[in-house]
Amino acid sequence: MKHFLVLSMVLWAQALYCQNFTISGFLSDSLSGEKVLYGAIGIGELNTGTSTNEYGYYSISVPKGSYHILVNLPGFEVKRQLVKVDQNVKLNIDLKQQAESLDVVEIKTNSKETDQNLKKAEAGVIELDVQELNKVPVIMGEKDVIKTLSLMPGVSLAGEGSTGLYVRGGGIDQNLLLLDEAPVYNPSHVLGFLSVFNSDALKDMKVYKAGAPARYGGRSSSVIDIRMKEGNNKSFHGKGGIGLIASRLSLEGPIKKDKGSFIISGRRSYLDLFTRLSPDPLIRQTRLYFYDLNFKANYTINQRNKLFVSGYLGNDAFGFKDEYDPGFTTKQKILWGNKTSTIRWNHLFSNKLFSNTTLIFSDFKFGASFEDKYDDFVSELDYSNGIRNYSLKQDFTYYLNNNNKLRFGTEINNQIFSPGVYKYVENNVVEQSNTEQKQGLEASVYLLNEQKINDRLNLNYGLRVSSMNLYGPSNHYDFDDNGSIIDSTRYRKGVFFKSFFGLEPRFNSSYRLNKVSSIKASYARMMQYLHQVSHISSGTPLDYWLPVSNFLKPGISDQVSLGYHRNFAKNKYEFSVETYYKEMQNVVDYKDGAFTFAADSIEGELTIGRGRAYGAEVFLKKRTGKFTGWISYSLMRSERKFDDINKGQWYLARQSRTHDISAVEIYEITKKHRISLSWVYNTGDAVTFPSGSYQIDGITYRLYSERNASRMPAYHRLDVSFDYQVKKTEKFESSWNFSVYNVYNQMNAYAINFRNDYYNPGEIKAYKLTLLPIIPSVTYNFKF
Amino acid sequence: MRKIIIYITLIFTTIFISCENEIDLDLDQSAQRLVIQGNVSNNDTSVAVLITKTGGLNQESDYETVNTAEVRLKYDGITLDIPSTGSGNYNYVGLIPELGKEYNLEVMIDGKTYKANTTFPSEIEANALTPEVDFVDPFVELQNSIKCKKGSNYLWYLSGKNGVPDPNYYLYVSPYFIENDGDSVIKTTSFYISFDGNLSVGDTITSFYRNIDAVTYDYFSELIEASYQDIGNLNPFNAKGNFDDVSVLGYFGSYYQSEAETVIK
Repeated sequence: MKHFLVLSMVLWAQALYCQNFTISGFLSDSLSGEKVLYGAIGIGELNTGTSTNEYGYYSISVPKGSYHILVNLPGFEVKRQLVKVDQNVKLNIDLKQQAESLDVVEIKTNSKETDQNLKKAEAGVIELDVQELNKVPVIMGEKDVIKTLSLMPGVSLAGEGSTGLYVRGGGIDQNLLLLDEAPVYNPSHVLGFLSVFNSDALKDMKVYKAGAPARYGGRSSSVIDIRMKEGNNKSFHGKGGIGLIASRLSLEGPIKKDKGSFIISGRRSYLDLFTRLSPDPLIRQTRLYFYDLNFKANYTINQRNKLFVSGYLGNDAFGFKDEYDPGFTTKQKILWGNKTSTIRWNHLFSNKLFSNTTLIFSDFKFGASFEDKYDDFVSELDYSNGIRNYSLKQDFTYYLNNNNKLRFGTEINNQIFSPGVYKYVENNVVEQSNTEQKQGLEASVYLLNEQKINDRLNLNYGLRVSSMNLYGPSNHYDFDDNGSIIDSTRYRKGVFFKSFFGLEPRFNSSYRLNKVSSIKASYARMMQYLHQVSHISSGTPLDYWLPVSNFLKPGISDQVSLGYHRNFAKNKYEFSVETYYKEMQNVVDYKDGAFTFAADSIEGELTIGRGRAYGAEVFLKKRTGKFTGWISYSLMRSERKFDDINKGQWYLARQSRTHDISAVEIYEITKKHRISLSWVYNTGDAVTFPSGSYQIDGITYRLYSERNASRMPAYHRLDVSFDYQVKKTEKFESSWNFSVYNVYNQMNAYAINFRNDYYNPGEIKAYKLTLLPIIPSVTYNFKF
Repeated sequence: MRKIIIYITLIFTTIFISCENEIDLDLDQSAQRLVIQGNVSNNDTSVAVLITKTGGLNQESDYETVNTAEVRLKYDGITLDIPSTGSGNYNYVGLIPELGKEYNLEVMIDGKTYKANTTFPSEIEANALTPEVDFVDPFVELQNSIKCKKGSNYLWYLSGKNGVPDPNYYLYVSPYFIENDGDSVIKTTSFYISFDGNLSVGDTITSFYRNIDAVTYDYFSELIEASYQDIGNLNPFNAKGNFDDVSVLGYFGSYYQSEAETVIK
């Protein structure tokens, strides 16, 4: 380690000695003014280059002279610009879009140089193009980044009708889901049939399945970084869609031309508008809807300062009231939703030092209430849970030279947990949980370097130091090995009483074997200081978050990953194969028979153990032409080990799906017609089924196999989508989308229940619960 | 409360289109496991042990019994051999268990020994009060007063008709537990029992109150939790007893039983 540091310092010192001037600025789409993220910029004369950061900023060092700046990104016309350098140069580059078919006006903000997938020192990374997202078949006309992400290797949905993700054998609570840097704790609408992310408002999505750079922290399995659009700063535009279950509308335009812009994007479902027309009072009084609103505004104060404000607000509601007879009424109401807000300040201290200061707010709340009245009998149940955080982040990017980009920063994150709280009142007799709010201050600092050793070898290495500091008012418990409370201490408001620390080294490398292929390797330790308690495996809004405690130790994962990447036919095809091995410490699972509805002393219901996951992923993608798409295959095994489950032996985690295949095919029939399909197949989840019976006191009970020793039936489904462009003028265009979810009506099992046969009570039969059969839908889309 | 979470979960899973169909699954058969149920009580048969083996998934009777085991009860340096009485039963008559005393059970089968222990709970005294009967539905509301002594933490209520331990009249599927940490408390309890049209004047209803030890309470609590596993996504499990080998199903516990009789008029 010591030698490595010395070597790095020598290299940096050499670089410092050689540098002269900088060319720096922003890379933008000329049509909309949207910044182009992660776009590569080259200087042919020097055989060097760089790429823009997540705000579209770049900085490159050159000696005095004249140079051709070259930007060649797919979807844009090639840009060559001669620049004379005899001092530091500010150069904002506007890229002109290439004419295309159906998506000609789609904003190109996520384009990558065609062989960047070979160059970057990033193993296990998925960059999802919003344009691709628009072409993938959708459910009920609603495009969805999370559903599309699950079609990539190593990523799968926790279940049908779920937005929970399993990434390389990790749990759904081990993914850091960021929307403009604000964590989203529960990304589901309508149970999970749709995610909360409105694709019309999104610009870019980057997923780190392994080797996440040190600037990310807080979860142990993956990072899903979603960025919203900034809005068109040239002219006013809108787009929207009218679908069967929901409609959406986005408006964007300049606040002041070329200086600032805004985008506001909303969706609402309207099933409840129809139910109000029903003659049936039960249906008429049923409420079932969701809505969400994304907004973002930015303003360039001057060459050195730019402000961004963005946010998300979304809610789901389900409720009904019924009167079975004049004396008996029942009312039920369930509400949940997320709120996020991000304020960012980009500041250039110099051409080489880029700073971003971010204030973040995020909040998730779930509430349910049930009321039954029968004459004088009244029963009421209220249940709620939630989590809220306030964060302050400071990130710096220092362009040391063309071979070293230093990034460093800090983050303070105040988290307030409201685990499950219930109150049950029956005829004025009250039963309620004693759950109290818990607080923790998560703090971290990081330093990383993106280093180009030579034309073949790129590195990205760094260290994150993180901590979680619990503070009052709170009871601090000591637990025995079983999670039972043996002692407690009460701490006053603001008093810090327990801290956890961790070192998280990260390393990524890319070695270019030749012009068309490279190998990549990574190692990352990632930690998380909170755990999610889920009621069912696929995740619902009922799930709640808990901070670490004396019993719930920080989750830690160590992952090594090795991959081979190759492009074919002049980058028309992209191929990769990656393998990985991941070890997880302090994984949480339930004890047998755990009761997790409220969290008075939830630790007594949980058990702490270890996990490991390993596998291989193959990915083949055709990027250009009339026929595009990809095929991905994942081979995976994920296991858990707990002292008090399965006699302490390793067993399969539920998400251990041995085979997972996704195929997405998109065919541009004409400039106006496009057909696309996606097909998924995966091995069924590992589950526990009955495997015998026994008697106690003459009563027969089912005997269950060891934990997760059985398998759900395999899951497979085909979706098809057809787009037809109706009208296209300079000012307006419209199209229809016809899609069919689950074309061959595969009745996939969501859950399997075992019951005694009604006609033959001695026989136990299995019944599968199926959620989504074939669902056709039609959506009218428009832009102006 | 578990029912409430299951209810909410069901709402979530059925808000939209959902349906349920029978499915053929090729279920693996578990290797046979031992099931040992043992009790020390103040009944005439003061030590009762039943040893069986697990059966097939659809089996409801004729479980294989173990009649060749050596069963011993140890306490205070004394060892009692519990003789086999056939059909997997091992019974001993004549032991008068003592409050707070620890009893150790050893079961030897095929050269392997399985051990568990229990601490005998305190006495209780049950007295029947006047029942209220509804012959239309029909059901009976039984009221009993129970006198619990110090250490009586868990009570288990069962009922039967005319002294016949007919399983149909047992509230066995959902035993009624009362948590009580009081000292010599007299408690009045009410139970509503439906008799499916079989109730008539002159019938004798017997209420059985058992003051059970923590082991029995924990075991049956888990057994009831396990039987609620109707949503496939929760982790199903087998109730764990107190034998030193976790592969053994069942438990070894103890109880003090008091009975109260009342005649339907």
